[in-house]
Amino acid sequence: MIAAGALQLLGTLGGLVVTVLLGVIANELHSQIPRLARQIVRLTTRFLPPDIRHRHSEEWLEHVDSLATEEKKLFALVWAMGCLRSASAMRLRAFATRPLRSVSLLTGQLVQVGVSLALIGWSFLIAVPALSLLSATTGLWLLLMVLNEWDEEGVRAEHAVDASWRGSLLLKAKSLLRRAVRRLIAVF
Amino acid sequence: MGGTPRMTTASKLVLSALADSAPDESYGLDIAKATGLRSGSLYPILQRFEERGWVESRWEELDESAAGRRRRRYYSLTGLGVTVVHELDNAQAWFGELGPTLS
Repeated sequence: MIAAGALQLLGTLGGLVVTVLLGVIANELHSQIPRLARQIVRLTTRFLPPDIRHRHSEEWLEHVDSLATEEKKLFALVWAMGCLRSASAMRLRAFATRPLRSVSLLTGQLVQVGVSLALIGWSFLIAVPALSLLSATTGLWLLLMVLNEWDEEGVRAEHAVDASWRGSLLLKAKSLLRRAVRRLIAVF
Repeated sequence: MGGTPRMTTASKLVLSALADSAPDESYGLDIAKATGLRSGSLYPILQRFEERGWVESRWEELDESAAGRRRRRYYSLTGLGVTVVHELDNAQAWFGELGPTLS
């Protein structure tokens, strides 16, 4: 009876301690939100074109600070996250509306196209055949495993004719697989 | 920058907010509060309008260390922007009159 009472008291005290600790942690996190929001804005403005980066950085930081001082700290964080969306839209717009003035930009685009083509070529010439071969081999191996397993489950004893038929099929499949693998090795 | 920018509901809200606050200038959060727009939509719209010459902006003249806050960027409609707002209002009124006739 005393032990149960002590346990109950300990549980209550533990609950109180955990509640206080969680409160302290939540307060600490809440006080760090403006700092986090400012960091997000600073990171976000790095996505912007250099000519408008500084201006928007100052403007957006002011907005985040204003919201944070109005005790809308969580809203300041949401606002900072929205800046990321703005920055990506503005960057895209700046890229889309910028004329091809210099050879270096054209070269950059050509390099981008080249890299994209190389990646597509790599995937079609090497990755796709390799994955197809791998999946086909795995499928065949699984089929052979199933057939093998089926043979060993005593089906042979009851249906000797069927089992021998399956056994011969299995052997044929194995030899075909061996030949295919040898040919592939010879080709590569 | 030729052509006309997309005139979405959000764009119209921003123009209306700037027109309503004229001749005073508004900064980003003011416009956001007036329109209900979030940062993800508001800034690209303001940027588009500035590029089109409908809106102009300037930095607040403020001693940041004395005021204890950063300076703000204030936006206001240009003459062209005011014309666009009037044209939009006229178009809206015309469609409003046309609405009952069509229905």
